[in-house]
Amino acid sequence: MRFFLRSRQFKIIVAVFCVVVILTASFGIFAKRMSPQTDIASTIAAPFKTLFSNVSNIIIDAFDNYSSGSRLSLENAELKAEIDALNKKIADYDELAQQNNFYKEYLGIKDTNPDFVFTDATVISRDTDDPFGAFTINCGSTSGISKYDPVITGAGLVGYITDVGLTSCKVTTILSPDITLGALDNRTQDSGIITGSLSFAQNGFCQFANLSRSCSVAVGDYIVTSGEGIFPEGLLIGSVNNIGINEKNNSIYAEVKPFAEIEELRTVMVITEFEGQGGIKVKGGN
Amino acid sequence: MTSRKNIFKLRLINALVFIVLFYIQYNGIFSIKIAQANPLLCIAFLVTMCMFCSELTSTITGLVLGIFIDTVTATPPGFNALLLMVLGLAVSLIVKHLFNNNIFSAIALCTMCATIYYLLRWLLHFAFVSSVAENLTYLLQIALPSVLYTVVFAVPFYYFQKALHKKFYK
Repeated sequence: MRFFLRSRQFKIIVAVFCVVVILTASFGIFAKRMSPQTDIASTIAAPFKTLFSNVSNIIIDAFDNYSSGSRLSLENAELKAEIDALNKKIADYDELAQQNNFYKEYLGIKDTNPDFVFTDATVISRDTDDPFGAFTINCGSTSGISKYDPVITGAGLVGYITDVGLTSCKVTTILSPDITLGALDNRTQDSGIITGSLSFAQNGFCQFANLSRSCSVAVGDYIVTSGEGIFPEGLLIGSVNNIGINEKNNSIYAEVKPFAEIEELRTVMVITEFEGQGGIKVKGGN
Repeated sequence: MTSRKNIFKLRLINALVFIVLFYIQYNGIFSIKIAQANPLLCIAFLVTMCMFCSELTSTITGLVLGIFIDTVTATPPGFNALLLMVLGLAVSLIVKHLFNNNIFSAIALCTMCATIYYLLRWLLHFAFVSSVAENLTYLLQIALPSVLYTVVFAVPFYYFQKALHKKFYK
């Protein structure tokens, strides 16, 4: 052991360690992007990740089709029972039509927000050790993406870009406690912040916190971004699932179910430009 | 006597196994989770591999693997590269100077490495931003089962490495 500490091998190892520390620290602090070694590895691995991701998706789709095919005969019988249920649902049609109008208003994001510039991206890997569902997409700075760009789907807000590489970048989701974004109840205009925590993330929820005691937030309300910070105004986040009281500061919080199925995402859109872009309100961010 | 060709073959097999394990673990589609326990396949394989390698080889393998893991995990930049580099070197040194090279050592070292990995992730991700209850939830419901689940894989990986070395290092 003593011999090893004096050997050339050990000196090489220490030198490599120091180089990695210096490169990582300098790029992380000053350039605010992935360290060069990670960037190179990411660029090399990106096509393979895309390939594996596509192959996995094909296998899963094929499996789903096969299993659904074998169930067709059973489904035929079930369909008759469903007709009765559907008749009842017609009664709810008006309500659904109203909801549909609401969605049209918000999901036609591109039409209503001509200032948005989008980049389509595919999810190529997931950090399975992260309970908040962080993932990596196949676009990077070469596609015009920069740190803190909002990530959305047709359904709603997903998160924001935290690490940018040349051909890939990492996304932190709205389930994470690292995120703090201004939000509004679309019906009552009550304002608060959307943030994550482990207990909420385990069930796929995020928290609409810091609501005043006099707020009128109700279960089923839609929560949208308020436009403060790094996210544009009016992006759908999710719907209120439950309301509670924070025992520490006696404020009201709401449990929000994000509209975007974060665990099931395959493709996302990154908003690379929008009107009023620039403000940052992220824990640990500048 | 071990020829260069055999060493190349051995390293190639290890590299291919690493690639497969990496994509299984970080693909996110073929889930290998049991409840919230997620095994660190790459780390279990790295530990068992380092038990049969020199210090320099172990360190470089840990560094390269860590760099690739850094591309997909939500950890601070360079976290995996530096940690796996140190763990690779530590395992190699411990087996050479302190432990016998057997299955019990593999289990002990894998437990140690997985515990260190999860403790550091907890320290960086949760310790200062979450409540006591959430910290405990993470440690008891995610970290601890994941460490145990990781250790399960140390057994087949150890015997795989042993068989490889028996075949190529005659």
